[in-house]
Amino acid sequence: MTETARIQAERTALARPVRRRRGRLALTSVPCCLAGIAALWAGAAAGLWFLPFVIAALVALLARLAHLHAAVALAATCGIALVGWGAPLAWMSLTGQPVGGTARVVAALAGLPPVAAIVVTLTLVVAVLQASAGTWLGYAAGTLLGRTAPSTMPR
Amino acid sequence: MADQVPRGRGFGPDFRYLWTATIISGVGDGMRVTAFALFAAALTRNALLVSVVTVAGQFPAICVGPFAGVLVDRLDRRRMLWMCDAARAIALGGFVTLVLAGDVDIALLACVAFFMGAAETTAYNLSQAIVPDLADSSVLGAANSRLQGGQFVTSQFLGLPLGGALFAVSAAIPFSVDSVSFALSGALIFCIRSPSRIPAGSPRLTVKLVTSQTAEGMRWLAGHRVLRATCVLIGLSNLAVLGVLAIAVLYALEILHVSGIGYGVLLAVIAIGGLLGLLVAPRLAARLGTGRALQVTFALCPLSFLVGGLTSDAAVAAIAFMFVGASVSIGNVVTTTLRQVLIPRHMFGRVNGAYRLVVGGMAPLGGLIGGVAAHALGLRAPFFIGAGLLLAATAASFGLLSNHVVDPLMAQAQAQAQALAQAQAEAEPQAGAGARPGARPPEHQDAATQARAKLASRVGRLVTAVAATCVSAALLAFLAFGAGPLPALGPALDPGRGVWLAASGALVPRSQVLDLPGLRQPVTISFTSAGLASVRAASDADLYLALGYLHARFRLTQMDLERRLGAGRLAQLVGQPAVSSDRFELRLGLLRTAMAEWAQTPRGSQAGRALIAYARGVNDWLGHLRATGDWPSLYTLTGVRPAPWTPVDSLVVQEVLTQDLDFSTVPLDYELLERHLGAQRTMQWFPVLAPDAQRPYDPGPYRDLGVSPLAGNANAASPAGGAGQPDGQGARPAVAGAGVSAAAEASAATALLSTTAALPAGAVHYYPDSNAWAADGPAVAGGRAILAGDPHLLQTLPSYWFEVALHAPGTQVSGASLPGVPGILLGRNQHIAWSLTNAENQSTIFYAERTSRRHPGEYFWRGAWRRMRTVRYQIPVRGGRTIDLTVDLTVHGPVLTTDGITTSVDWMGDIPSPDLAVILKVDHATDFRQFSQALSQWRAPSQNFVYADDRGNIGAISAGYYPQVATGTPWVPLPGTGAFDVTGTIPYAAVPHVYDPPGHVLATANQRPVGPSYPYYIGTTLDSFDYGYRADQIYSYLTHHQAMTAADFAALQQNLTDHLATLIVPRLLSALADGRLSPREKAARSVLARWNYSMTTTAAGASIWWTFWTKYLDLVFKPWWSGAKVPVQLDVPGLSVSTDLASLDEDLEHWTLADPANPAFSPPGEPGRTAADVMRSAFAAAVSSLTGRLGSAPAAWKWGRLHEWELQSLTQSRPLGYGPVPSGGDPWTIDAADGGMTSDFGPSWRMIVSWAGPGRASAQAVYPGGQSENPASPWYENLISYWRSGRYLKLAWSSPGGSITWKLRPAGRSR
Repeated sequence: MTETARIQAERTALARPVRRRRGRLALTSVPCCLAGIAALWAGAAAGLWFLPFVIAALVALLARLAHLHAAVALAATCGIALVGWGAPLAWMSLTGQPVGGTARVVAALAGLPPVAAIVVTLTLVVAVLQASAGTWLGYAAGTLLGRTAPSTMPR
Repeated sequence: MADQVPRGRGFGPDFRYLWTATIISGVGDGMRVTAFALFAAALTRNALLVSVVTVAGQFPAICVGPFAGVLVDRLDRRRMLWMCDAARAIALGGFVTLVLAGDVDIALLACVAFFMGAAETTAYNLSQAIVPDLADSSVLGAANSRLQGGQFVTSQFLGLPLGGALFAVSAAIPFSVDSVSFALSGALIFCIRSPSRIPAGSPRLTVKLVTSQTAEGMRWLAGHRVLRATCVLIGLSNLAVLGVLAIAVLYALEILHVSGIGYGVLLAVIAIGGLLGLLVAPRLAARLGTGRALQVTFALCPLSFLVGGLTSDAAVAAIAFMFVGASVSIGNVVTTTLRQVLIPRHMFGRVNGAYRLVVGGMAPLGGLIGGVAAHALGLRAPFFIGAGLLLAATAASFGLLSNHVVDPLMAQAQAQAQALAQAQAEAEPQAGAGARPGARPPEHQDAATQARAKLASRVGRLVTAVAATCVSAALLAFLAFGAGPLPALGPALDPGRGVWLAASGALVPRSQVLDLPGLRQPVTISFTSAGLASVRAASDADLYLALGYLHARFRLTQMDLERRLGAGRLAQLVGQPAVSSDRFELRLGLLRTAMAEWAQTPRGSQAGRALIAYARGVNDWLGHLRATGDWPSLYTLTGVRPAPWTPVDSLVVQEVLTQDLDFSTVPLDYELLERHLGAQRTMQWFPVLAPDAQRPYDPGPYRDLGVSPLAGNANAASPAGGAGQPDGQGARPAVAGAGVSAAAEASAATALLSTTAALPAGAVHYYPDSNAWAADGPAVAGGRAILAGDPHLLQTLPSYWFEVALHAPGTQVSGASLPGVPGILLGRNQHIAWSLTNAENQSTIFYAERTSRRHPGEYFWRGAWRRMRTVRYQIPVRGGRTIDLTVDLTVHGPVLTTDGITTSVDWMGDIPSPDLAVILKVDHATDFRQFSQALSQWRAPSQNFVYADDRGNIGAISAGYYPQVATGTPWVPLPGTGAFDVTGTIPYAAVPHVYDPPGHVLATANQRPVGPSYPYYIGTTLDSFDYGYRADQIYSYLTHHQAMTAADFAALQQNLTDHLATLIVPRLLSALADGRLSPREKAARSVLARWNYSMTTTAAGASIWWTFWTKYLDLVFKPWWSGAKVPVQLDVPGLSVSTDLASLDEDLEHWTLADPANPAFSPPGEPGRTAADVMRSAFAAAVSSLTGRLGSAPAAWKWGRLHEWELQSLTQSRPLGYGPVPSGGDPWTIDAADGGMTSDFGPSWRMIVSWAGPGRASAQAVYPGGQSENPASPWYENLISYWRSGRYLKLAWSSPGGSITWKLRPAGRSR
């Protein structure tokens, strides 16, 4: 075995568990994200507007304990928040309710230009802000509970 | 101090501690800035003292900054930084204690602000100096970006609004939170392990040393080519930017024409631009190089300033401002990095201090220059001056700060620093080990060092967790409770609830079964496709309950706004801007009157039962909203919830309409006119009886029956109670003009007029525009009777009216209902139809009370000092503190002002009036006798009730109170000492009325209803009868037609003939025939000569006529106004020369037609002129004006290009209104358009009822608006198209039609 081949083999051996771990993560994270989105949708209907924060905190805590990088946790929670709050609006619009008209009315009442996109965007920003704060808190709590610092790559 | 250069890559944990500390203290900083300003304003209203606090906070940046740099260079920066935070935490903690003890004055506040400013200046310098110790030189830009970005976001977007919100809860809270934030920040800085040591052998710190080292820093800066240039150019940039920001608020309001909230949005856009700039700055510097990045920074601004200076479009200006924000941020990051690299580490503090002194010092200078330039040259000037300065800076930067100048210097500095660090590392291998970002402790570090590092790491993690908790709590609190004017965004924007639920409420209702508590029998409500409703119930109680429910379903916001307006609770929903309205309404006493009305209403009476049932229906809907949370958007946004509805609320809504129609400030205008024009001229030009011929609907003969007593005023002190001692002076009570200074009278009038000018539109009666007429016998086809009515009001969305038909055993009535009040206000029943116009008589009499400092709380009346009755209120203010209000009542009525003179008002609307009982009786009346009998109880607002019945009778009665005084001239404020009091009202038998007039027609259009021989005083030409032009036009039509039909009446309702034009234009054309005209004037005259006097949108003659008439008024009267210095600014609609002053139009009409040589045509001190002379001048001025506005072709001067029409939203949100659209009409056309060139006042309802036989009528109606108040609903403005095109809809009547049906059932039954 040449030196090059040996190094290549070592690299492949090292990379295999990482790939396996990534696969496992993908398998578990997709249902987790879907569950999070469903929870947000249901929570929104029940008036639990703070649920993006709570779910983000939980997800970030688990991510920290699983040694995932903070950026990964943040991306996941923000994604869940965006879809979890955006989907009810999309559904209302698809079922014929005047979402755009209502958004324009709300913008006008708030003294903003009567543009529907402003209120829709603001709604999603509120979800993302909650998710960001929840992620920070969850991750910080995980740092207190965990032993070692996370790496930049999934282990 | 040893220079240290990080060797690692990227950011280490120490940098994270610094970053976290920065964002935590950023929240506290933002809160403190807001809280300091609010605290200062709460302590004093002295603008100078408030500004002292602001200056005290900013002054240290100039006076402390340079010297603090010496400390930064001599002491351990890490230790000094956490000590700075600790000192601030302790200082604020002590301050909080004093706040709680209530021991803070403005001087202490200024001292604390100064201390915090000094500490902040030092800490800022330190944090910039420490960054190179914690981050690798290759990522300095990114490090600065993150630090500044974090601080920016947390302070600007979180801290500032949160500070205001928490201050509203308690003044101590924001300072407490700030103190905690500094404690946390200090703890995090303490965890930083990189040591910054004092250089060995440093000389002892003395004043002399500080001075010399400060000067050394300045010399170094002045001697460095690149940093000197950067400093000067950034300083210039600061000067230009602050020059613009200083006048930004005026620029936004006056040039961009945005509201206060719009200005807030503009500031937010600048902040967003700043944030974007912070994000892109490191990448920009890395890609372009430091020099070129700086050039880009400078180049962005001039272009943005030019765009901002040229545009009047808010969106374009916002984009330009965003680029300015981005430019400033990029400049901050790049220059901070530049300084950190180029300045030797051992003198960074001093040089940085000198740099910041120059750059920071330019800010106030820029503000000053901007203000002066804007004042002298206009609001756009600072933009152009700034653009010029920045263009020069950009050009200079291309020579002084190019990459080939900056980059070699930076490379050289970095190489030197690395070499120095290498040498130091070799000499002292342990010294810098702990300072490297991400570096691990060396193996030979002892156990104690490792334990300390481990402890620091744990503390750091803990503090980070605490910080995350604090920031999360702050964010959640902000989202849950809002801040200042910002609503609670969390629940408001929840996509499953919140404002989005209004979307389902906007859908057209579907047929459904509803269970309503309180209902006894099932009720059916049906809707036509246009939303017109019919209610059928088994009893009146169920009928009015269902009506309350229906009104609340479609008009809850409107009802709540109206009752809040009347009850002085608007500020609870709207906030500070509505406080003056609440104060005024609580003084005037609508709520007290409504409560008295309810107290006088027997619970078992028809009105009492209707009010209780109606309130139950409204509360059924409120209960549903409470249970489901589906509140209308306004409530979801504000977080305020409507209180349960009570019968008093319905009476308050009724009182609001009474005020709208009946309360006038004209006596105050008369007072000012007499003061300036003289009493004689005032009464010549604003007489009691108009000089021109008018047509009253009641031509007489009249009877003098003496006066009838008035009912008790709910807003007056008891005449008997509270009588104090007689006047010890034995002085004669003051009379008008005596014992009271002119200044005091003017001051009182000014105070009151400025208060009423700030009230919501419609709160004070200005425009007399309503029509109602009837015809019978031979004048009508079929020989029965026809009635037409179009009451004119402020035209709003939603409308005043809600169209509904009500059916129950014994009740069958249809027409316009007033949301908030049970019953039909105008419409028809089985046998009669009626409509209303405003009687326009004087119902408001002001009294100047005699008071004395020796008799506090008392007033002099009928020879003795009397104690005022006082009523106390609290005005809750959304986002502010509750305000206490004490209202004083005299025997005349409430005291409205004590400025100058204590002025009270005796207003007929303050006397409880059983209007609802009257309306319900009218709803059930079957003939004129019952109709007239019902109206005998009507008190206010006095109205002309026009009548037509199925037996072919017509009539009219001007029902209501007409106050009569014992002596004096009630059109000006009267002395309140007793001799001039109101003694009673015209007896009902003597009020203007007519029944089956011999001419078979009658018309009321707010003209004086009686002729000159009427024996009672009812008002003047200014207060407030109409010009009579509409009435003349209507009579002209009615008396020249026979066998008229509903279609004829419909055409008459939409008639646009200007009656005054028919009289004046022929005289104008004659006058022009004598003069020399330019070709354009000839063309204009030709257009006018062909005009048919109709004010249609396409008529060019209409534009020429209207412009001519306004110029004619100006040329005749304005010289007199200017000479007499009439203070028109105090009450523009009531004092300025315009078509709104009916008296002047009537005078000018009369003089032109009958007295063309009247001395008024000759301005004071000028040669004599005649009407013809002035008309020619006015015509020339009109042609010139129209040429400037509409072009040179008179045929193209269409009226629709000058005149528009719009409907305002009740929420005051312009986008939720309708229009403006080109419109015909003017204030004198039957289809009136009043309120200025964009009219918003006119027909609020058009109705025609044509009787065909007993119980048989065809009735049609329409109003501009729609049944729903939800702007997203298809029923929001669907009736406007009918209204604009002159079409009507059938008034729902015998069978509730419509495809949508609600079945209401008593709650508790299963479906």
